[in-house]
Formats: sequence, structure tokens, C-alpha cells
Amino acid sequence: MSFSGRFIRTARACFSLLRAGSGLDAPSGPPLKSAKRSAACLRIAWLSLLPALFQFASVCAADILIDSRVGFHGVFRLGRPFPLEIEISNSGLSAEGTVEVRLWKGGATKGGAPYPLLYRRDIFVPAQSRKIVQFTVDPDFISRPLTITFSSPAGESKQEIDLRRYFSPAPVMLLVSEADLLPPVSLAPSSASRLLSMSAAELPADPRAWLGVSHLILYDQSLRDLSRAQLLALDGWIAAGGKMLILGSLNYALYQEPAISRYLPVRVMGAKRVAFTSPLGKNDRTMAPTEVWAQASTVITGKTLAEADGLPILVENNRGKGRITYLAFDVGRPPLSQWNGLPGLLQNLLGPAVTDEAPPRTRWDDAVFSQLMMSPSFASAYVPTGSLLLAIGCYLTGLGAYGWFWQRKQLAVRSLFVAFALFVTVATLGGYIVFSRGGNTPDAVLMSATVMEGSDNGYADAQSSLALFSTKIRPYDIQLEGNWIDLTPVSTPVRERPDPTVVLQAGGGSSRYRLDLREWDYRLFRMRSISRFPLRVELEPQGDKLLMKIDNQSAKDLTECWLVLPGQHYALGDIARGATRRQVFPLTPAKANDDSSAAGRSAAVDFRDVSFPEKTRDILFHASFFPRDSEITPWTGGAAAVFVGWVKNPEPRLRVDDPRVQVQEYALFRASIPLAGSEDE
Amino acid sequence: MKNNPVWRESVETFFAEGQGFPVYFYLLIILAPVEFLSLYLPSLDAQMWSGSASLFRISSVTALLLTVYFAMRVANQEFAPWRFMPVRRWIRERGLSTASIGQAQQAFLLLHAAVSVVLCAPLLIWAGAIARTPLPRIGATLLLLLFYAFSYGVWGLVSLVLWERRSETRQVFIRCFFFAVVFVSALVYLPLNPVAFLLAYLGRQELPALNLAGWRWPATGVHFGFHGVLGAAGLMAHRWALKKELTS
Repeated sequence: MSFSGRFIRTARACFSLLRAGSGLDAPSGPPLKSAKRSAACLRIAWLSLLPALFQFASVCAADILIDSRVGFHGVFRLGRPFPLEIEISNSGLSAEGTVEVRLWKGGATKGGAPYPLLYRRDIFVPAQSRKIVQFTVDPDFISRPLTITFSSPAGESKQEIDLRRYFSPAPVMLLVSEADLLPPVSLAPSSASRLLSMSAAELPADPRAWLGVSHLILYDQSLRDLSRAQLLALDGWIAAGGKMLILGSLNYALYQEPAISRYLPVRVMGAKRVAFTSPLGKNDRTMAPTEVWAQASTVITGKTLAEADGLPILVENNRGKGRITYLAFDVGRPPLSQWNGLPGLLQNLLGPAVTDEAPPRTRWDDAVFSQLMMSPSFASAYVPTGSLLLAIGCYLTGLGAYGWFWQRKQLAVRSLFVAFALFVTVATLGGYIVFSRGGNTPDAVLMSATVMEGSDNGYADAQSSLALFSTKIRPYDIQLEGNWIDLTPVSTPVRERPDPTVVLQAGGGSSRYRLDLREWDYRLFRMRSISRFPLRVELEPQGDKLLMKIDNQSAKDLTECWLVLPGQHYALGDIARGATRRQVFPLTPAKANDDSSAAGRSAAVDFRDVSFPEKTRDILFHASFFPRDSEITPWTGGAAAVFVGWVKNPEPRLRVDDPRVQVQEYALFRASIPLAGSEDE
Repeated sequence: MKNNPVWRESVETFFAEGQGFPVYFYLLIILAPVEFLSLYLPSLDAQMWSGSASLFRISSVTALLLTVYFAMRVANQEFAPWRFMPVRRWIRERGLSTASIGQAQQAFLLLHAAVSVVLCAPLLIWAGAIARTPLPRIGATLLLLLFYAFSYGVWGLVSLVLWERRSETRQVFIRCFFFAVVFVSALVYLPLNPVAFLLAYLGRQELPALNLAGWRWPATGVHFGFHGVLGAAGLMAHRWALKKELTS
């Protein structure tokens, strides 16, 4: 029970006791002076108790103190999500309330007006205790402070944080090591990256919180105590482009635990002294040791980059867009720890913090969405066009019939008048009920259009363009599914009304976006996620022919597939799940293409002739996924071939538990394959 | 009113004989396609792309223009003019007072406007339901249509009495009057314009107040004041024209 309820009950009990004592509830009898006097005394006593009661209330109220920890030991990478840990200390009665973090999105850098984004979580803080709440926040600009509020029926506590004190313009590297043996890894003077030492328990449990981290270095560290959420977050981060460097140690047993084995590209069997050779194959001028300790292992997956005495020393494995590097040497113990060339070796292994090449962005704005909304197939989802046409037709026909009866004068004027009034009334009311409450008009249409960028290692980088279009005034709850790593509302440069506040409600192991929309209003979002989609597309030039190999090991069928080559395009039809296909195409554009008009075009990849029967797919493909005015893409200039196919019944990216909200999912698999011997090469 | 011969003549001609049915036919045959097609038409503003969002607005504005225009033409006796007895004959031959003639003409104008609104009501209410327009706003829109039809329509009566024998003059006058008031009001001060006012009302937009002689006049007050004065001036001009007909 909350404090306020308890206080009210206590006050009521006191009041009823006083009333009983004072005889205020007694039936009124003949007035007696003494009785009056005693009643007056009791009233005074009761009134004098009131301040004490209120003082009691203030003493009993939950006394909340907010403390917060920003980023990784007070550092976060600018422009990326970062962890925010909030500690709620309650030195009063137990309190049930809401922690709310308010920050700002949009603004000049995003080309729109600033709007607040609220992160909210309901918590219960027992009396005389502390509670830690973790959020992953992502402000678009930090000139406005971040505000943390804990509000409960008993009161409100607030803290403002100036984020300018914590940001780093460069990526952050994390070092996790139980042993204090590793010499400080000095980064290159030109590097602005920040290296922070953390304990395993401090690692975030949300993959989005990792997005500002470029490298994670593990040395002599057990991952046994990591929670499942932390491990999943780590998996998600690596798949999204994170780089992990695992340094070997004499404590090889730590590396045989299942928690760390899931990341190791090798199976560690022991430790032994091996002749030292620089893993990078360079002739170090520094005095290198002759023999060093290294872990003995066998390679499971990945590429061996260096060996010593027949043992793999440096192994690299790509996972998703990320990379795991394993160095077998124990760099924390002598003789290697005393080697002058060690910092240089570590710097080389960490490499420059190069940002990953992002897949070509889809176009998603008001103009694209307007095209979709005006397409008849989409419009019919939310507007009862057929019913309206039928109603108008029936109404005009009814009036015509009425006029005909009137002209024939076969019925009495009174009857005709009553019939007219009845007809118009029934038509009006019936139509109103059908169009406002009945029919198939949904409260909202939630549309998700995803492009899945295929890669060689079975992962797909999915960019989703989302739109929530409301036909009435109401709030909406959107549940985010899968390994989403980024969800950003699209800023609108000019808008009649300011963007509504978006609330990200966290808790129960899931995230929900909550936003209010007006009637016929909409909101656009962009979402990014990395997921497994083992579909391989390979192209192999064979003289004047091109061999295409497709292996669809995903759980989804692909429909309406196309292969677009410079100056050519081929409809491939459907590719079922589990199917493999080999097909040969000629590499002579003018002859190969049936369409003579296309032959005249430049030998560049041209999507104009690719079309789909469904209008919505066609609009999405040409206006959003492959916009003509897009930036430089891998296929610009005819340097690549592009394979595309629509995913049948794609996995939902979002979920709305409301039958009045219609969900439409579209997903396109796209793989761009560089063509050897193209013009650029 | 039942025994007023001018009223009876108008009602019989228009409704009993069905000479006025084409007016309602035109009204509905224009409004219905506009309403249906507006579902597919983008509006001018990029943010109001949806036809369904603007469905009630477009339908209401169309109904407003049609109702006002046809009210002026009906008041001007442009439909079946040969079936109506001239005002001069009502006064000279039947001995009717100018007051009873005026009352009958105004009452019939009101009846026509009401029938027009009733006939348009189902289409407008359906549009309102699809566009999720609140019922009070739909009701207010229907009342506004009636108000505008009468305010402007009385000028059709004025032209009828002033230039009874010159039908071309009357027709030119009411058309010029209609378009002049609509366009000039939009140019001088937008909230005066009935279309702009209706769109602002349905779009829940705040119209700019009128700053005049150091005073700040609310737009709604100015709009209704203007149309009240317009209607009252029309009624006074109608009475004056009838009296002039009596004395001439």
C-alpha cells in the first residue's frame, strides 16, 4: 500500500476516535453548558493535533534521493546510446512510483524541431532501501540537460544532469580483467579513443548500450558470472559490429568455460612455452623475448593469422558485422609483459577505430509515406471506399425513387412526406453508425518496411522504416521485437503541430514505445536490427557468362526475386526455404535484355525496369529502398550486381496488442555482390 | 403562413409540381462525386495528404458553396420563373401587403435552405463519420450552412424585387454579388470568408483577430457580425424594395 493511503486511513481513524470522544456523533439533545464546554475543548484538542498529523505525514513520507552514473565510468560516446544507471535511495517509507528520464531528440542536427523523449519505468522501492534502475538513453543533442524524475503519490524528486561533462567524441574501449597483470594499453597519441577498465558485473545488459563501444578486451577473465541478458547483449553487440579481443592467459581453465567458449574461435587445451614470433609478422626492432607463454588450442572457426610452434597464435573470426580476435600469448606475465614492443602489438591488434561501412540508407520521409497512403491498395485498408460508394449510390437511388413516386402522385402527400423524413433519417443514422463504429476501418495502420542487407556469414543488417498512422485520437503502445539496436523517430522539418512526446516504457524484459496520436495523424520511425538470415548469394564470372548460386537456408520463402546486373535485369521468381539454385546469365547487356529501351541506357545497375504487381511493394522498392536520388551506393557506377527478393511472411519487427490496429509487414532481402573486372577496377 | 398565397404558390410550384427538383438534383449530383473522389485526392498541404482526413472539410465546403449559390438562385426565381406571379401583380391585383409578400418569400427561402441542408445531411454526416469528426462539429456545420444560405439568399430576394422584369440583370447581379463577397472577403480579411471560417473551424485552427482602431476584435465575432449585418442589410433592402414597388 502506498504511503498516502496509509496516512489517510490513520488520519480517519484518529478523527473518528476524536469524534466519538467529543460526542459529535451523538444525537442532539437539550443543550447543556458543561457538555458544550467539553465538546469545545475536544474540538480545540483535535485542531491542535492536525499540525502534528501533518508533521507525522512528512516524517513518514518516502524520502527519495536520486544518484546516477552516466555511461561507462562517466564516459559515453557522443551520438551513440549509452547506459544510464540510476540509484534510488529511499530513507523513508516504501514508495511505489515511476522513474522517468527526459531527454531531447531532433533539433537542428536532425533537421527538425526538438522534442522530448521520455524513458519510463515503474518501480517499487521498499522502506530504507536502494534500488538500481538501468536505462539505455540516446539523446540527439546534449546542450539541454537530461532530467531524472522519481514521482510517487507521496512526492517527486528530480535531478538534472549536464551531459556535456561526460561525452567523448571518439569510441570507447572496455578492458575487462580479473587479474591486475595487464600492462596499461597505451593507445596511439593521435587516437581519441578512451580505454576504460571495468569489471564483468558492470557490463551492460542491453545491446543498445554497447553501441558506443568499439572494442572489448578480455584478459584472464571468467565470464561465468555474466547474466544471460549480459551475454545476449554481448552477442547482439558483436553481430552489430562490435570487436572483441581475447588475450590468452596461463589460467587457461578460465578459457574452457562455456560462457567464454561461445566467443572463442579456438578450443583451449592448455598452456605451453613457445618460440616468440610477432603475430603481426613484422620485424620488431625492440628486444623481443625468445620464448613466451601461450595457450595451446585448436581452431574451431575463423582464420588463423599467425602460428608459433604449430599452435594458432592469432585467430580472427567474423560474426555478423563484428569481429572476434584471439591472441594466444599471455601478455600480462613475463617475459612478454616486460617487452617494450607490447604496447605497439596491442595497438595494432586493436587497430584504428574505423567506423563500419553502413549499408545504403533507405529513404523514409513524408513524401514516401504520402505516396503509400495515396495508393489504392493502402487506402482501402483504412478507408471504407466501397461502402461509401454503395451508400451514396443507394441514397441517390432512394431519392430518385421518391421523386418518381411524388411525380406520379399515387400516394398521399402526408405519406410521402413521412416516407421522405423516415428515409433521410434512417440513411443518416445508419450510415453514421456503419462508418463511425462498424466496418473495417481500423484505429491505426502500423506499417513496417524492412530491407535486410545480406552478408556472407549468415547475418542480415535490417533497416526498418516504420509508420504508425492513426485514424482517431488515442494512445498507442508498440512492442519492439527481436534484436533491435536502434529506433529513432523521423523528424519532420515542417509540421502543423509539434511532434507528440514519445515515451519508451521499459520493464518486464521488453521495451514499449508509447505515443499519442491525433486523428489522421502519423509518425515515422527508423529501426535497425541485426538478425540471423542464412541466405547466401554468390556470383562467379565465367568468361562471358555469370554463374549465380543461391542457397536459402533461412526459414523464409522468398518471392518475386530479381537479379539486377549493370544494364540487365532478370526476374527469378520464387526461391523456397531450403532451396538452392544455380543459374547462368549472359554478360552481354544489349542481347540479354528483352527490353530494347534498356539497352540504350548506360551499363549501370538500373532498377527502373524492376516492377512488382502489388502497388505498395512497387512504391517501397522505387521510392524507399532504391531511391533514384540516393547517395553513392555499392551498385552505383555498375560495380556490383544486386539480388533482391521479398521475404514471405516476414518476422514481425513490432507488435501491437490491439485488434483495432492493423499491421502490415514488408521485408526485402537485398544482397549486393561486387563484380570482378568492372569498370572501376 | 399557410393561407399566404405567395407562400402557397412557391410551395406548389417548387414541390407539388416538382419544378424545384432539378435544384436538389444538381446539388446532390455535384456533392456526391466530390465527396467520393476526395478520398483519393491529395490536398494542397503536404501534411494533409490523406483524402479521408479532409473528407468532411472538402464535402462541407462544397455543400456550403452549392447551398449558398442555389439559395440565391432559388430566391431569384431562376427555376421555372414563368410559374411565379410578379410582385407588382400580387400587390395591385390581389391586394397583398408588402409585409406578407416579404414574409412569404423569406419563409420559402428558409424552407428551401432547410430542405437543401436536410438532403445534404446524410452525405455530410457519413463524411464526418469517416473523417472522425466529432458530432457537435458536424451539427454546427449543418447550422452554419443554413445560416449562410439565408444570409446570402436574401440578396436574391432583393434582386428579384428590384429588377423583377429584367431577369438577365438579376442573374448577373446575384452571381457578381456571390463571387464578389466570397473573393473580396478573402482578400480584405480572411476570417470574413465563409469557406476560410468553416475550414478553420473544422481544422480547430485559431483565426487571427482583427486589429481595428486600436481594438482587437475576435475573428469569430467579426465573422458572425459581418454575416449578421449582411443578412440584416439584405432583409432591410428587401423590405425597402417591396415598398418601392408599392409606391412606384
